[in-house]
Amino acid sequence: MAAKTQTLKFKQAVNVPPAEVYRAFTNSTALREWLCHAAQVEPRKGGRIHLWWNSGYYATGEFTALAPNKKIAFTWLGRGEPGATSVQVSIAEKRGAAVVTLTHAGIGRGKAWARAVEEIGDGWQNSLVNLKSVLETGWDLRFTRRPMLGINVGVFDAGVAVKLGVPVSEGILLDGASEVMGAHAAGLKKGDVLVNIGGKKVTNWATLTGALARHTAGDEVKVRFYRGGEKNAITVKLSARPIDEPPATAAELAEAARAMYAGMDAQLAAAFEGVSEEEASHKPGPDEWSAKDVVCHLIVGERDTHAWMSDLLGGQERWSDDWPGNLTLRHAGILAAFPTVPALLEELKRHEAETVGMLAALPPEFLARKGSYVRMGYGILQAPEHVAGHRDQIRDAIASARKL
Amino acid sequence: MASGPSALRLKRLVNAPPAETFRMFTHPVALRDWLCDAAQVEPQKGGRLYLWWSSGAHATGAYTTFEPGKRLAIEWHHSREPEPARVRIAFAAKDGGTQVTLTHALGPGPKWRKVAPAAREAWESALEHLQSALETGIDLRIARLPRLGIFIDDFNAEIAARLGVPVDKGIRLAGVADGAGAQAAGLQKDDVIVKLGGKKVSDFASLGAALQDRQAGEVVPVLFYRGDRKMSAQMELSKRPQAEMPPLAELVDRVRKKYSEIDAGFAKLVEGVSEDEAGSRPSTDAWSVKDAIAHFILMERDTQSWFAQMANDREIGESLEFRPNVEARVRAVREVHPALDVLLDELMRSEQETVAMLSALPAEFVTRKHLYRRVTGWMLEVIPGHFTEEHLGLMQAAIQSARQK
Repeated sequence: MAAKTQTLKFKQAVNVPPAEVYRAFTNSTALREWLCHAAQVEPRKGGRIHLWWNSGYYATGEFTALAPNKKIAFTWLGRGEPGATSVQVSIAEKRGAAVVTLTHAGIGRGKAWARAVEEIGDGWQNSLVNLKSVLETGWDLRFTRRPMLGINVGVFDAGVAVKLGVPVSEGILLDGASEVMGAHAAGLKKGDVLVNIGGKKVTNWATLTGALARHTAGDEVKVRFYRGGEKNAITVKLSARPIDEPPATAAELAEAARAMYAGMDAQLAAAFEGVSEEEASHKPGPDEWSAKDVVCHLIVGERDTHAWMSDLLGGQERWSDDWPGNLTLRHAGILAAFPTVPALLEELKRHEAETVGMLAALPPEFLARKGSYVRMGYGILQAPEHVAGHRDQIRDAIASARKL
Repeated sequence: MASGPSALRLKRLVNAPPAETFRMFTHPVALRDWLCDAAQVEPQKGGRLYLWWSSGAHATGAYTTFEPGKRLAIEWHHSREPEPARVRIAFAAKDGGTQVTLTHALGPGPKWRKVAPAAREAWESALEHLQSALETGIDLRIARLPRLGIFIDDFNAEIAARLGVPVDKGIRLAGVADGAGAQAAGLQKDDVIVKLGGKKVSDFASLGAALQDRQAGEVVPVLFYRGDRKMSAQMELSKRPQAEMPPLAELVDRVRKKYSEIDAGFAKLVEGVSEDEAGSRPSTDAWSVKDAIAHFILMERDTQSWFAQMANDREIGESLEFRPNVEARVRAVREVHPALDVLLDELMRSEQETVAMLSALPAEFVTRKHLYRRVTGWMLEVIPGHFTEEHLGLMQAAIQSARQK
């Protein structure tokens, strides 16, 4: 007679000490770096574990056994699954490296379980490969292998469709294509309207990311698009995002950040040259930002970065990536204390210096947690992209003030 | 044949509009102020929710119906219930307020029968807490924790002998708080409590156990020794004093005043203190005066971020107010503001920012009393207390220690 339940078993060698693997299963920051997108855990027997994915899936359970650096067991009830199952992780040491054996038991058979079996199976398979990557190199494969078309998306509606002579009013309008990525290589160009990717209809940002989410970088997908009134189909090879390794030491990372901020500060100083306080305070529209608001926003950005770094360093990251928000309120506070452009720019510089100072003081044990370190280093060095957009915003706000 | 309890159905009329009442079930910050101890939710149809309680219980599920101000259905799996169930909540405008009707469908069988009474009781009190959070902003779960109003001192065989008390286990009073139950019951310094509400009391843990499941307002018998005399009294368990909730304009004025007191406290503290003394750590793990000032600056910044977070109705962590004290962050603030006066200037600017943010709080924030109450308590009690009660003495000690080196 066939057993009522089945057990899925996985094995993965990871070239780090067992303690690091144990932490990767029992710390919420570490868990989100390789397995899920948010996690809350109480690593004690009877404590809860809640894992949350952007896909809409979640799993909740309780730890049933914990033996530091050796064994972790917890119950598992995934969204939409017919019943609770159980996961056991054993960590063995082999010449200083860890060998992880994961068994997921109590999974039922039959139609009700078919989807769960597939999802759980694929999920652990891919996740354990990612565990290895994150612990050994710091890179989250879900990020580095995220497929990209390499396009800029423009606003598309019925009016634009008429102008372009495109017979549909929903789709993704190309505003341009990166020369080093797949869309450009396949011949897509500005003005093309994508309507289907890999068999999935695309109408907006959400459906576009949904269609891409099923693939990884390197996959080839069929893309259907309109160029004017003519419908075409081509094959596009999905690209990986260009990745820069963050520097290997805290001192080098701090130095890279310092140089980056010096460049950004010079650009901001240039943008404000010859600008009066009045011009800098002018809001182009009732809900739009003045040039000063933009600087406030950059100050808030640095402060939130410090807070995020603290949470990462403290190993108790927040549940969501959302910044706290309500910028109107925060700008009101900052403008009260720093009313003039020079005062605001000085405050921004002080905050940038604090970010650099924090980076320089990163303790060695944090650098050893590669997943967190790479995420922090990579994230902070992306700032110029953010600031470039805001520099244009400053220019536009000032131009609008001068038109009055 | 009916095989088990069918559904719990509860009603409660609350004095708040349907939209606000609906919000209490769909926003993470609001949910934790009456139902659970932390929440993560996606407020939309099909969106997930995860609630947890510090007791260890948790509930997961999803919103299957989501009609703002009208009705909600939640696919609900509570860790102490045998299987997923459905909770429906209807919101109807009534008498200027909202009639909340909550239905919790229960499954059949003995396992459900066993948990049904507890589930009913939990929802009954939860809806009462909901009403309080909406109407007064008071979290009854905290407000009703009983308070004895006693200060506790060491107790052991030696002290027992000195006082002539014939037992060596109990709770010895260092004094009683003004206006609370212990004082009214006639208890005084050096009395040794041995029994409370019929439960033996031998130490702090057993005192906590004796108070568990008790509520403020209850009267319980207390047995104690005064010297060798065993005495008894009836003692009322007091309510916790509720922090005031002044109108916004008054709050801003009072906060300004509290900050000038803190600033004056800092000025007095550092009078005649050299840069070296202010930068000196009593030990590797203890903060210097400058470290502590940096910590106060960070506390202002985190306070501001927390206000913005609440004003946005967004919850991003288990602990809303506190972030870990991270050495690298304190150090970075100190390095960028190296001199004592520069550091104190930055603190004052940060305080000024907090005041400006308070004055700019949107009207709807103040109307949401559960949010506004958190802010008033934090600004009028926690921040001033953090200076006077937690850090002032430590900073004075740090200066003393620097001078003795």
